[in-house]
Order: sequence, then C-alpha cells, then structure tokens
Amino acid sequence: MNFFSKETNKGNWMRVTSWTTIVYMVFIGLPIFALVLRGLGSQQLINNIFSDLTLQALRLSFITSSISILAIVLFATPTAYYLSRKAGTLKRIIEILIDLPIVLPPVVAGVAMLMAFGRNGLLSNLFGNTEYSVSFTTLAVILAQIFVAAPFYTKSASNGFAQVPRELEDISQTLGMTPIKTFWKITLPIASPTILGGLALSWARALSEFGATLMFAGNFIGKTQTMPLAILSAMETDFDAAIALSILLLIASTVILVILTMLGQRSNSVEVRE
Amino acid sequence: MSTRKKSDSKMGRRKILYPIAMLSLIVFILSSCQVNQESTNEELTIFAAASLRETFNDLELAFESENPGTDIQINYAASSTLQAQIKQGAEADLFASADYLQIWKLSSDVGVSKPIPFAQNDLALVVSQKTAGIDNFDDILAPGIKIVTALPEVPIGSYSVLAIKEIEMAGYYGNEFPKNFVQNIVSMETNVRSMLSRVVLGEVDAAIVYSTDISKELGNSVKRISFPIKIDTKPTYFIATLVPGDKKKASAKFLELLSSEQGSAILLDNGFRPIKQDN
Amino acid sequence: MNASGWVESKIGDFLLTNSWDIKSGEISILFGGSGAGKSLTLKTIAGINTPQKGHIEIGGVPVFDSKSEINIPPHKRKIGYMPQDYGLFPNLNARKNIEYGISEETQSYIYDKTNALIDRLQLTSVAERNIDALSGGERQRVALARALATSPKMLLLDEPFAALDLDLKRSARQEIRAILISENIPVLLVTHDIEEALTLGDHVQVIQDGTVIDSGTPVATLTQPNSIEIAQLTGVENILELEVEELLPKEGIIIARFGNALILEVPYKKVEAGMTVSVGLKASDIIFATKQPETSALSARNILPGTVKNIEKTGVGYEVVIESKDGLLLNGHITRRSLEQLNVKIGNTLWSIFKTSALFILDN
Repeated sequence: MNFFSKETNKGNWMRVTSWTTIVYMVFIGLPIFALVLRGLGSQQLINNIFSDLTLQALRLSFITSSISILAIVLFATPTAYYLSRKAGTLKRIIEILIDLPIVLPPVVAGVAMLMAFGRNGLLSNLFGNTEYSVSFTTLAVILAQIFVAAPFYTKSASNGFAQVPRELEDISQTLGMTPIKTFWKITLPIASPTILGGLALSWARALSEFGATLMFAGNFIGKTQTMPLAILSAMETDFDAAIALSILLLIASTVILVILTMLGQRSNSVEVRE
Repeated sequence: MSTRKKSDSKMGRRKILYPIAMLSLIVFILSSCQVNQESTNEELTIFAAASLRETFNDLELAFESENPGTDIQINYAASSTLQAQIKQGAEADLFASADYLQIWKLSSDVGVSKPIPFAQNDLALVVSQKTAGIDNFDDILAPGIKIVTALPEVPIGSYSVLAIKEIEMAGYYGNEFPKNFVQNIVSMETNVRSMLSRVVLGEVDAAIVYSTDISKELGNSVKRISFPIKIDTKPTYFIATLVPGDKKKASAKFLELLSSEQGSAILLDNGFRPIKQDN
Repeated sequence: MNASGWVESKIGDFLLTNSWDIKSGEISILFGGSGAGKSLTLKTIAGINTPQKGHIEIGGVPVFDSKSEINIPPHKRKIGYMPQDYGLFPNLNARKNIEYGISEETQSYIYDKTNALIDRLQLTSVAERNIDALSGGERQRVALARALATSPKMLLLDEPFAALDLDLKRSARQEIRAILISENIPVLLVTHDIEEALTLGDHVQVIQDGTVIDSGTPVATLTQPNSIEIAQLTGVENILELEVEELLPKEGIIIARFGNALILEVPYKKVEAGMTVSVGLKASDIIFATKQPETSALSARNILPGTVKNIEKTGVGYEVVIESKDGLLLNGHITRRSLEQLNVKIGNTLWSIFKTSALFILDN
C-alpha cells in the first residue's frame, strides 16, 4: 500500500492511520536519534562511557534493578494470581492501591517513603529510634525501584492469569495435580507471554527511576548513584558525559526490552482457545 | 435516490469529530509555544544563582519601579546548571554566578564580558534540631552521623571542599580527618534547598550551606554551629554580561543599580557583603 | 466397584438435588436441557464444586460426606473428567496432554501407558501435534485418553459428542462405548441428545431445574416418556388434550375424544372416565395418505382426514401441519420424495394415520 496514493481501496481511515503512525514515530524517534547523533559527535564518548563514574553507576543500576525485579516477581506473582481469581470490593480496593504508584509523581513517592521508612519516619517512631535507618542506603534504592516499578508487573501478571480459564486448572486437578503444581505446569506457561511483557516494562521503569531514588536514597557514588542520578550529576558539569550516560542507559533499557519481548513472543505460539 | 438512514446522521457526526479534535489539538500546541520575540530594549533576562533569589527579586522590584518600561525575567538555579543551560543555547543577558568558575567555563563557547565580583557570602554549618547532642563540629565527625553536601561541581560544593581542606590544613583533627567527615556523607545534591529540607526533616544531621540560606522561616528546625577555625574561603559572586545582552541599555543600567548605594543596601539586607568596585 | 452418592447443592437461586448408583462397566446417562444442572452434577462429583449436603462414594471410598466433614480435594479423587470443550492444555502437545496425569511416574511407565492409549484411540499419526492442529474428533479422543491415563475409578463425560458433526458423532459413539465398557468403571455421561442417550446408555436420569424428574432404561424413559416435561425435552411434537370417554381394559385400549366429536384410540392406562389426559404422539409416527384408506384393510386404528395448513423444511425433510376435525392440529414428518410424489401442498386434503400404540398418556 502506497501511503501517498490517493487511491487506496481501504479508504480514508487507513490513510489516517498511516499518517498518524508516521507522525507518532517521528515524534518518538527524533529525540532519540538526536541524542545518539550528538553522542557520536563527541570525541570524549568512549572515555566517558568507560569512566569510573559511569561504570560504577552502570553496575549499581544493574545490580539494584535485578534485585528489585526479583523481589517484585516473588511477591507480586501470588498477589496477581489472587487478584485474577477474586472479585468484589476488596479486590477493587487492592487494585487501586496497586495502581497508585503509577499516578504518584516519583518525587512524591520518595517523600512518602521517607515519611514511612526514614529516620524520622513512621516505622522508626513506632519501634523507637534505632541506629540503623534504611534511607540513604543501597537498600533504599531497591525499595524505591520496587515501589514505582511493581504496578507494571502486577497488572500484566494479573491480566495474564485472568486469561487462563479456570476450567483448565480444574481439569489439571482432576488429573491428580495439586493446585501448586497446576500453577507451575499450566497457569504460568499459558500466562507467560503477557507476564514477560509486564516484566520488561517493570524492569525498564526500575532502571529509569530517578525522583523517588534521589529523595529517599540520596546521591552517592557507588552506593546510591544509579545511572539516572549519575546523568543528573553529570549535567552540572560535563554535558557530554551526561550524553554518554544517557546513551548507555538507552541501550541498556532497549536491550532488556527487546530480549524480554522476544522471549514473550516465543511462548506466544501457545494460544488459549476460549 | 438514497434513503437516509438514522445511522447515517450519527456516522456523519462521528466523521467530523476526529478531524475537529485533531485541529483543536494543533491549535492548543501552537498557542502554547512562546514565539521567540525579538528581544526589545524593554526586556532583560538574568540567570542568577539560586542563593541570590530574594536579593535579586528585591533588585528587580527596585529596577522596574525606576525603569517602568523594562521587564526583567530572572531564572534561578544552581550556577553550574545555569552554565550548562547557557552553553546549550539558553538566551540570557546577564549571568550572576556563585563563583568565578562557571562564568569562566562559558567563555570558550559564548561571548562573555569580564566578570565583575559584586558580593560575598559565608559558609554555614547547619544541624538538625531533631538530633540531640550535636553542639560543635567534633560531634558531626562521630560515626553514624549523616551529613549531606553538594556535588563538588556545584559552587556550594566546591566551597565546602575548600573549607574542609582548610580545617585539615590547620591540623585540628589529626589523621582521622577528613576521612571521618567524608565517611559521614550520605548524599551529594545539586541544590541547597533540597539539602536544607533533609536537615529540616531530620533525615540527615548536618549540611554545609550558605549563611544567607538560613532564613527566618527555618527558625527552630535548624541550628547553626560554628566551624572549628575561622574559614578563609568566602563564596564570591560574579556577574557578567553575555553577548546578546551587551547591546542592551538595560544591562548596563542593572549593573549600575547593583553597584549603587541602593544595591548595596539590598545586598546587606539579605545577608550578603557587597563588594565595592574600584573603577 | 460402584460409584454412588447423593448431593444437594445451592448456587444462588439454583438448587440441585441428585442421587446415583452406577455399577462398574455401566454407562449412566444424565439427560436434560441446558441449565438443568447436568454439568453441575459432574463438577460436584469431580470435586470442583462443593455441595451443601451430600455423600459421594467412588469405588467404595467416600470422597465427600457433609455429616462427617469429609471433603477430599479433586486431585486426590481419582476421577476422570471430560468437560464440554475438552479442556485440552494449549501449552502441551497431544502426547504431553495425554501423559499429563501420570507425568510424575517413571519414564518407562509413562511411555508404555501413553503409547497404549494412543494406539487404542487411533491417535498415532497426530500424537506429536499441537492441539490447535487437531480435528474435533481427534481432540475428543485426546481428552478421553488423557482422562483414562490416570486409571480413574470413575468417568465423568460432559456432552462428549456435542462438538462433532452428525456422521462423526455416530461412528464415534460406537467406538467410545466399546472403550468405556472395556475400562470396567462406572461412567456418568451428560447429554441433551436423545439419540445419544438411546445408543450409549444403560440407564438414564432425566433432570430439569435441578431435580431428577424420571429415571429408568433409556428406551422406556425417553421414547414414550411419562411426563409432559420429558416429552417436551425429548421432542415429542404433538401433545393432545383428550377427554376419556370409555375404558376397555380387556382390549387394552381407551376411547378418548378431542373437541366435540373426534375419536381416538389410546393404549390402556388406569384413568377415570371423564378425565382429561395429555397424550403424546411423535411426528415421525404419523403416516399420510392422499386418498381415504380402506379402514378395514389397515392395522392402524386412528385415521383422520384433514387439511394441510403449513409445510416447513426441517433438516432432513419436511414438517407438515394438518388440521383435522374440531380444529385438532397435528405435526407430521415427511421426506422430500414423499412430498413430491404425493404433491403435498397447502390446502390439500391429507389423511393422518397412526397406530394406537403410537399414542402414550403423559402424567401431568
């Protein structure tokens, strides 16, 4: 189909979709292209990419986001399953709570976490001021990431599980499999394409987390300075370094997105007949 | 001859809905663009260090009352941030920086006039009221104390580094210093406001800020304690004219105001020490 | 090894009460329309639904008892269950579906048992395929093989032939019946198809609105049903309201009257003269004639002249509506060939002929 021909047998609507797609892609693609172009134009790019600051930030981002995702998967998966099988007011309240971090501005989330877990926060005041508080630690980075990234996974997982007909699970049980075995052998495999998609989004969100991390964990090289925070710091002085870091983060997020989506596509050859 | 079905009029309405929505969207976007007007002599854009906020607001009022035809726009941020913005092409006529370095960094890319020092500040060590038992500098060196500083690339951060260096040179604390100080740093920020808010909340115990930042509003939530020695490092503020601004009469007039008696009075009011120009 | 029990289950406003006792090798049919509670009965026995009250025993072992609070979960009940759309696992191929229930046994056991079933159910050529590449009949056999692999003590089949077309249905029924009987376990099969009930079942229960309204051998219960409800369920096309005029028990008949003057001969049943009875007559039991037949030369006792009021095409022929004396409307069936040969048209005169034994009195 020629986008520019006046004669398309699919009519006006198809023409509109072609044009809006082009505009959309240009809008997203142009800034990214400009970023990469700028970075390639800088002679310091390689130096910046392999500088100590960058490598520490990269390592911290990778380790913290991996732990965050692991925690999210372990805790949110059962919750997502529970949500997919229940109905009613309680479920709706839980869903609202799960979605809340998405609509909360990240900085607000950070402040909220300080209020709850900070040194002068609710938890500390309840249990008496101990020497140890979680703010300004690497753990705080992980907690902030979990807070903002969890909803993306939980929603997807819950949708994925809801697509698995209860009947299949019932049959599995009549065939002798316990509910837990049923979950592993039937429910999870069928839901996995959807879940993997949510996992990719969640991981990308955790990697790019900034506002809550800065507020709750602070900015300290090697301990709490993730890639986004490193970019912020670099902005203050060396714009080119900031560009290099941005490109690096862009590549890392894209790679994760692509790998997980491809994994999801592979298991997508399984389609559930309704 | 065609029969008009009831559904036709509904489809007719729906057909124009999408184009109308699209058109409205484009109109909204265009109207929110600020068309780059030719800067007239009636407009002056100043980039100023964040710590100068109250001072320059007062100066703006004074200037605009004496020069009613001129409108001043001031952009406040950390001096290093402003420098980066100007380097990337942000248009400013005057740049008031918290140190010389930021203006110097611009000089290779942007046309800058010779920077003029106009004010001095002091470093202050503030401590959270929510933490008990911190009365002097020794106390913040104890393990477990949380200190927040600024990044060394930001003026307040580099001044703090110099101050710590001075204390080290004075041999006051022996081999442990400044290691014990650095170990207590939990975060390195880019602006004083966020540093102060952490101290106020009690999430950290101490921070090094400008003395002018300790406003009356903070009142009881922070306490200022003194350094162990008299610190020589005095934050010095410089102002420079940037290339588009040097053509404007308003730039020169503003600089005049700054160095005048009135200007000095405003600086003093806000806790700065005006620097007299020896012309 | 029997399977027996009774349940009382309330879901919302719907109340299901049922009881059963099925011997090994016996196929018991649960017959009824949609919403009658058939699937619910199966799910309750399988353990997927929990009844309020009841007792369920399989192979002599109680798996549910409301009094002694026994409720064995489905994965321990050793029941084979085949739901309506077969419920094959889409993430496994045919073979893996079949061996699913025994997948935790030893490799050689799995291999042997699975292959034996694949052979027996003629799935050899499709065993490695994904289930979305299987035909309807193949999927049905995979589902059955899967249920049989676990050597269940009872089989529950929910409309197993509903998704197949007519030819396949008929051939599959015989094959499956043979397999079911050879397993020698109690089988409970749910259907709304009367032909299926008649060909497969050793025993039938007719269920409607959650209660069993009749039970017995399929032929007795379904071909000449006792009640109006069952008559409607099994598709008896004509239900006539007649008044009992005269009882002739020695001759085995009743003289009954429709309207003012139309007289019919009905098989004898113990009723009182003067009563109004509902009498069933299947459309397929009516023979048509274009000329008045010689009454003395026919064994049929009911011969009624009438006018053709409506002709409607059905699946395999035509349904003809005849109006006789006193406004009696009868539905009859006729093949296309007969329609053409007799030149049946609306307004024509046709005689309806049916034997006494074709009529049966229904309980109200």
